[in-house]
Amino acid sequence: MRCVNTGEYPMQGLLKLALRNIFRHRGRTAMTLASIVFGVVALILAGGFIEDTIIETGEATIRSNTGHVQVARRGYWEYGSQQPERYLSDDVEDLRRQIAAIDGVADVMFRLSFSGLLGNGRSDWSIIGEGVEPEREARLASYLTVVSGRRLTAQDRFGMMIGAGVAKALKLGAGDTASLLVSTPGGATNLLDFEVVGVFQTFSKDYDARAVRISLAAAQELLATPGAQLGVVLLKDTAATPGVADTLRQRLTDKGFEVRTWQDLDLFYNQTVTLYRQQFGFLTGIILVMLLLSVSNTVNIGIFERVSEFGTMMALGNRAARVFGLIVTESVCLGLIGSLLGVVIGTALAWAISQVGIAMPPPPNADQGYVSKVLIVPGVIVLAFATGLLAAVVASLLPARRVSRMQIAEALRQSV
Amino acid sequence: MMSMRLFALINIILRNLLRQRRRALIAIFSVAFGIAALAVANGYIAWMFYDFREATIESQYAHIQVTRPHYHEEGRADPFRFLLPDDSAAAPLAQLAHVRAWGPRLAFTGLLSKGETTLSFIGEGFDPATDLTGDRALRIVAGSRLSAGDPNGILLGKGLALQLGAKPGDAVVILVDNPGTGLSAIEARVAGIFESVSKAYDDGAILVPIQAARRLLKVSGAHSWLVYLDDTDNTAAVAEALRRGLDARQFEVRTWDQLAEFYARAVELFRQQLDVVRFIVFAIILLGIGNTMMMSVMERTGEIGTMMALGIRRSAVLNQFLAEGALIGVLGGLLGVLLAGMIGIAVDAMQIEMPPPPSLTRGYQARILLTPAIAAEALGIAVVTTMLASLYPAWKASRMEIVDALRKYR
Repeated sequence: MRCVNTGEYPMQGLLKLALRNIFRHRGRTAMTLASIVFGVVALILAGGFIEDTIIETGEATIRSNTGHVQVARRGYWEYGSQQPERYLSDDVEDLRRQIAAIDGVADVMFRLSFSGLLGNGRSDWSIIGEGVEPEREARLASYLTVVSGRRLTAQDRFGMMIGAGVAKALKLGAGDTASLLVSTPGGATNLLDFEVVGVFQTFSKDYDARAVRISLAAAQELLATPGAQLGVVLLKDTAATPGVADTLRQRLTDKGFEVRTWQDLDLFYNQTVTLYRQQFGFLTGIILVMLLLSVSNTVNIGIFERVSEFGTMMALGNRAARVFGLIVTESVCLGLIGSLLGVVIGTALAWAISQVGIAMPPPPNADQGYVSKVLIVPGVIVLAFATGLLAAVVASLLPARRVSRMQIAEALRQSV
Repeated sequence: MMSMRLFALINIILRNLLRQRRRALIAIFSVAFGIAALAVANGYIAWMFYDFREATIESQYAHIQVTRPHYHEEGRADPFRFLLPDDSAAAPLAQLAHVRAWGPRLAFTGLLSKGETTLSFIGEGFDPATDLTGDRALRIVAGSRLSAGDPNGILLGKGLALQLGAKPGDAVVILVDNPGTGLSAIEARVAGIFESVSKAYDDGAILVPIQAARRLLKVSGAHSWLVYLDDTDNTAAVAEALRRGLDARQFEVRTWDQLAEFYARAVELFRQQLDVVRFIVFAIILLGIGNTMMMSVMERTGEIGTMMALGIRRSAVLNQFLAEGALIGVLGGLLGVLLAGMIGIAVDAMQIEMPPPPSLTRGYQARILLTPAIAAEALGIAVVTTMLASLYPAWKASRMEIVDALRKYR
């Protein structure tokens, strides 16, 4: 059986002919390749940059505050921290052992949060306080920077760290004393003086504006409870999050616990991802259509210059399908070469840019700028490659069809 | 004489373009598409900024704030030192041109209790008659707005209400600890629950009538006077007039753009990203048009030879190709702006709801704000790119040896 679109010759002949045609028109080929290469490179760089931003945002979220997975009594996230029945358990060590036994878990830490007023003697500020285990938190919070003073330690029975926003609002600095007013779960109010040991800043300004951290023991004393409300799980690898969360759900749901991952907890991250995906989609669309137009331009011009050539081919007994096939093959070759070149150059550029890094301004809700990289993402490379190839192929279809349908006599007459 | 020559040039260019209809059309369409993409991206972001700006002003900062000097830096730490005089002192505000409304605000923090549950809050007293009036300024998700005649009503932020378990109609107790005068408490009734643009704000905010706030703090003044204007563009002029009318040792006048840090940063970040898109579109147009112009020159080698053999100067050949590029740029640019306008109308008609941007609670409707500046910029880029793209081929054409060029004629 014969293959229709190769006509009289085997496929190999068509490919060879197409390649020869491409290299015959060196200037035109160079221009078309430049467009394809540019488009593919732009996609790889933009995609890699966006991926890096997304991952960076995720890590910033995890490492500022949320950790990878959190465990609490069911209803804690809906109804808040004030009801005493929301406590995890009085024996948090037992829970810690259970969670730490799961593969991939690096550490488990407990928090006890409370709402209160922090006063400087002249004014109050509404804060959200957290009793934390300072040594374990230090391992988690690599994105939490101490602006002044030092980190909290477990020995600080009456020491507190405050967010940069709190420090600014109350004009407090390391060494100052502040009074903390809270209402205990029983309904009484409790007032304790603390010494500010340090001021911290995370990736979220909103959090820093109201956050106060004291040691877990001090918080338990303040609220007159031996328990904690929130178990924060730090993993060895962020990619393991869904797996560990599933395991936790299987083991703990029956016991009245609820498990949330950092993605469930952080609205900001999800919104950032949506926004960037949209932007990347828009950019891909533009590049695809621009490539389509650019390539079809070249193909069109090439073809109409070569009408008499195609006329001659058909006069010599080549089928219309073969002419069609030849034109499309030429475009496929152009698309393949251009996309491959684009992938090589784009990957090399991404690597080079990542070595240097792009200095980024602080995101709207943060105070710290960061250095961005361009990640080399297989998915993006495939997409970029496909976009370049697709543009080349689609651009050639219409002109190729038109030429292959020409009357031979008319096509021949076009030669001057 | 000059215009005659120009006319002749345009005539030749038009004829050339018409002769090569398909190529000219492709070139024009690729310019048009690129320009439309750029204008739509620009217009979309311009709309987003505009919408975001107006929402920020209406719901958070007002156009202008009058305070005691340095209140914004130091006021929270020592609020009683920064009290403004009675409202009567602000009467001249309302007389100024372009002022739509004004209202006093009094900030305070304290504890809010409902039953057994107590939470801390950041609160503000405001005048419900003039301040935060529209749905855009303050969106009520349950219950109703504060009525001017109800001094015991209170509005709760959505997150705070959820944590407290409070619904409209519930009774709550506001407790404030005043240094000097001690604790003071009032009972209030939840009139409504609001959602602002910021979730972090809603998690800890309450709003009460200014009379209630004054009663709690045992003061009669305010911390700031918020001034709303008829049009954001008048902000600088009105602020200037205010600064002239008020004693600088006693009052400080700040405009929304000096206060809205989040807005400024978001704008900065988007500008950068838009520049990348603009560069990519620019480069692709450049390559695409360069391609077309290159082909055009190569194909017309014989014609160029004939022109020069007839005594036409190299500079004239150069000019002609450049002018052809420019004309493609103008036509493509106009078509592109037209296309962008049509896309804008379509987007408006489709009423596309966008998801909320990072750390905001509310989405917005996508629209394309095609300002004259954006259209002019797009048109300018179209002409500049096409001329740049035709520079090299035109130069190459004008450098040809006449004999070689003529010989190419088949």
